[in-house]
Amino acid sequence: MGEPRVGDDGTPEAALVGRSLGRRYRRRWALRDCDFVIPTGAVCGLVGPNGSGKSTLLTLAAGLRQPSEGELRVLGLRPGADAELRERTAFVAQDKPLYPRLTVAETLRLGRELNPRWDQRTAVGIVEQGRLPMDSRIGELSGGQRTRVALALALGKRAELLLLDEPMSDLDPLARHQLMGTLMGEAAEHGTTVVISTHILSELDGVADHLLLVDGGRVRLAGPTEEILDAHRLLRGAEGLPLDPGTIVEVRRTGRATTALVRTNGPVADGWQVETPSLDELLLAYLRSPEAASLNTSRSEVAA
Amino acid sequence: MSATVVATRPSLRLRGVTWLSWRQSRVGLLVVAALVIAGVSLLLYERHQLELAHARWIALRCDSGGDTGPACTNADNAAFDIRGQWSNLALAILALPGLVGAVLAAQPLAADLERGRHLLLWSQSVSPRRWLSHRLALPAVVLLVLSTVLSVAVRWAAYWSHPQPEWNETYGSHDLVPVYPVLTLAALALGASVGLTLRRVIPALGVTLFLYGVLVFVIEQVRPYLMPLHFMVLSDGSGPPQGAWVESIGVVLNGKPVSFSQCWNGGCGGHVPTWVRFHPPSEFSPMLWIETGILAALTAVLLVLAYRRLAALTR
Repeated sequence: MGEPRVGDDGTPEAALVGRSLGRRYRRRWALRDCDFVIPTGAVCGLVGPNGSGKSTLLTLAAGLRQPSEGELRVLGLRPGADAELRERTAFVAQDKPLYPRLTVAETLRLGRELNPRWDQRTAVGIVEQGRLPMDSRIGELSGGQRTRVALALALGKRAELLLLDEPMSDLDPLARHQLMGTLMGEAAEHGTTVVISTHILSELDGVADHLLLVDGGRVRLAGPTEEILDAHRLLRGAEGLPLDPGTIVEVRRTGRATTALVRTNGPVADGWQVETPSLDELLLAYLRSPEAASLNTSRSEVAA
Repeated sequence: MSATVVATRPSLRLRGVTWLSWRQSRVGLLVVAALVIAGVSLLLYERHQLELAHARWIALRCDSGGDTGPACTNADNAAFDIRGQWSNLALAILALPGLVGAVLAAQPLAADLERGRHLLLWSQSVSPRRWLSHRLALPAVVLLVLSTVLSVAVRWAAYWSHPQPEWNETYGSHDLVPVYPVLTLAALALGASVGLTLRRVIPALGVTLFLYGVLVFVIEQVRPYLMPLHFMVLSDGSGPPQGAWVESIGVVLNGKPVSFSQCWNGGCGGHVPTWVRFHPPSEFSPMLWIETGILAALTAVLLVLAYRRLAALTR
């Protein structure tokens, strides 16, 4: 308790701070040496391939597991250890575990009984938006409808930090769009920090203002989305054009043309057609090139 | 809606985890309540039948030697049949805590962990420790009441309704009042720690039932030694007090107490003194309380184990 808290000094507005964070399951490290800062009010996309450590990171943040090394602060507190934090964070696990025998109404009652800040109106609103009958059992609902109930439970908690583990993965595009809209609306209205993990990259476009790319248990990219995008350029041109090898993230050759993602915002050699990459292009380029250097603009915030 | 109905009786409204606990175990608890009511009814009915058979036996003067006609045989058979049914009932009563521990503690806890619902429960505003405490407290209280009712009925039917205290072979002391309620709690704690340890429904159910069987077997083996046994060599006119629990008897050969099986080697011809090891009726109640105390300690140990498992799951 006596040690200084990252959230207290230097970055009082941090919702989530990881410092050399690591978590081991038996002998395998699921997460290692992770440094990152997610400020409050951010909508942070947590991206990475399957098994990269996204779920582990969210589980640690939700206080359901403890770090094996390093430290993690949520709203300046230690998840799992500081009791006060329990009502301030909400977590939706990957498979949206719910009780199949309970009705929708009873599931919301569960939320009401177990959470002092419960907001029944919000929760009911989300359920009604999906036209779910309150008296149908969870076991009778489709995957998408269950997701809706799980989100209603999380949003009804009125938490300051919302941790969502691949929440939209089993939804059809229409429902995904609708639920994402609801989620972002609620978050914006209450200034909720949202960390949303996904491997569907398009889900994040125009939504995530922060980015955390985790791959192989390590942080590859961390920081504001704008900043990260702005630090990269997508180059298209004929084969054989010069490239600064120190900046290359990925080079792909398609016939006589070459596409390269480089980390620079300075000038490049003549002949290249220069674009700012889209979020999709950037993330895919990093995921395809595991050896590319990582970029962590949020780390400087920790040092400051 | 149910909320408005409940609001008119605010004192009965369950809150927090207790509500969830009731919602999840109400069917099981109602079934146990029905079984207890059925068990008590059957017990009282058979007690009544036994009394009738006994009264018939007395009225026919069957015990005064002489004419033991078919009527006496009938009365005797009836009493014998009822005692047989009693021992079946005693066995069912003994099995009940094991089933309760498996179905009301091991099964739901293992299912929550197997299906990942602990992630749902433990990410609400309630800490895992508090969740487990409240999750177990409601069934524990209800089962304590039900098992007390049942075991009071058993003890009344088998002992208290007799004028004299007497060890009764049909009902082992685990079905009787101070022991049985604590045995039920021990089974519940056993189910909880097994469920949290194995985290799979089917193995948790099986292992809980198996361990409960082991527990009952061990109690059975240990019970005679809960207090020192009395030893006496029988001589003419002397013997253990009436209603004593005779643990073993044998013969005295060459000044040593040995079992009757030694007689096969010969040497038991003529007049050989016999010995007996026993508990007098006055030790009946103290021994029940000792057994109760041991089970209470076991319950505490199992609960500590359950909470340690829970802590390990969030480490």
